[in-house]
Amino acid sequence: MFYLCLAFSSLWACHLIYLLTVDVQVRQVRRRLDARAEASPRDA
Amino acid sequence: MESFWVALKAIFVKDVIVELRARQVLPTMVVLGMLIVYILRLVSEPASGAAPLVGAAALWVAFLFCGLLAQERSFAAEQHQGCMDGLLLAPCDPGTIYLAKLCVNVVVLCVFEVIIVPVVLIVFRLSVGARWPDLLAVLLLGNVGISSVGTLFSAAVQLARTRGSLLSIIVLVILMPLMVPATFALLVLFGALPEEVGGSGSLAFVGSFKAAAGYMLAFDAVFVVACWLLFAVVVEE
Amino acid sequence: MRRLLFILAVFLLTASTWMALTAGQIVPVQRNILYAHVPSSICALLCFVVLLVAGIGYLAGGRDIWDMIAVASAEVGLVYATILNATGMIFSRAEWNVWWTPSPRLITSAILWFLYVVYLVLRVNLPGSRRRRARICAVFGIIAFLDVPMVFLSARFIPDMHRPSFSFESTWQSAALTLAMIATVLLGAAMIWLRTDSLRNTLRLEEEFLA
Repeated sequence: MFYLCLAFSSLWACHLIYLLTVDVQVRQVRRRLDARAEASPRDA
Repeated sequence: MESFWVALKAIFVKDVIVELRARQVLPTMVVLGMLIVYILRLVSEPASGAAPLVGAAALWVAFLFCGLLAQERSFAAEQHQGCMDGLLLAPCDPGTIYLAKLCVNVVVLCVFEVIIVPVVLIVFRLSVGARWPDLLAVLLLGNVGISSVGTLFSAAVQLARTRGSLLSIIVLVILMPLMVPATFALLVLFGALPEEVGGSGSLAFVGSFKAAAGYMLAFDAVFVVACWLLFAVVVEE
Repeated sequence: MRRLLFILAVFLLTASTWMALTAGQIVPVQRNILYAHVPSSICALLCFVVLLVAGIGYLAGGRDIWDMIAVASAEVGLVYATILNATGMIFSRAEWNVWWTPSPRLITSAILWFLYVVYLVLRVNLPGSRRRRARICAVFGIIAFLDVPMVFLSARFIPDMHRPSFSFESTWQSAALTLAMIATVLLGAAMIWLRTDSLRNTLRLEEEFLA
């Protein structure tokens, strides 16, 4: 029973770690996009 | 067709002559190989009953790591003064360059094998008796397999600073399935396993020597052809 | 559309887990780990096929989208190979009291994991232009895919541990397993899609910056 719970929690943990990593990257890209959108009207 | 053989011979002879004059790779390989064999002998001292297994393992590990040295060098020398571009301008397929380098690496590993196999047999107190042609055949099959993948990826990683380690991880991961029947074949030759093992053997192998050799032949065929065809992709600009 | 796929996949996964653990429960309770193990093995192998197809697509066409699909499927494949290895080891600990043993299935999943790791390490460490890196990684993907059947074939030289016969006693069990497999493949596809999009946006951002 313990091993069963361990297996299923490792399953969900792996998925969540990966999705969190991708989420962090998406947030960084969004942040950079926002910063550029903010910066460009001033340059033009 | 004519230019194929001419180019093949030319590149092969060039590399062999360069190696004979420089004498860099083979001595380093031999020293590394002997060190690997001795270290494995020392660390396996308590389990000296498993000498055939450790001996076979030591032989293949030495082959793998020293083969990596040879393969890395085979394209490293071309990086100076645009030699690689010069080679690619030759009037032949890029695949011919690959085959020539493959032949060079196989020959270098064969010379290495002639030196290291007696060392392994002596240090681990093994003998193959009358089956030494089989031993040579198995070693040649392993040799070609190791060189095929290494030569292809050596051309790919030349620009990296950590090219030796990159090449090592690529080659070792691809060659993992070759090592299983290779060790099996060597164990049969060293007399630790019978010719055919079924069910659960004591040294945890099943199969037959012919199957192991056939597998290695198939592995070599598949990978030499695949690497030959893919070499053009790796060196294109 | 993507969110819909995700929600569908997660829903199916929960449904299959619930079905598996109630109506389709296998009698020694730890064997239910198989409901997590088998679908992730299917998904890990399918991700490898996607990697191969994307590699060939990149070499044939030259469009960057193939390269991004390849990287995304390598990452998702790594996730599933990790799950495969973890559940496999937990299963073998629960069933035979050893964490690892050189049995064919465990060796195959270990080599699959290593192939994904080496692909990603190669991706990070290769110098040169983006195109060169993508090309060499595609070549490695093709060679690695040729390696996988070799691994299966070489595993027959290693004896297998005694495996309990997996006969399905009720249709609930096979239904739960099939549902879990479909759900995991959908989830994997959704993750690859998500990752490809994020890579494409990153690339577009960098190109705009340089232009």
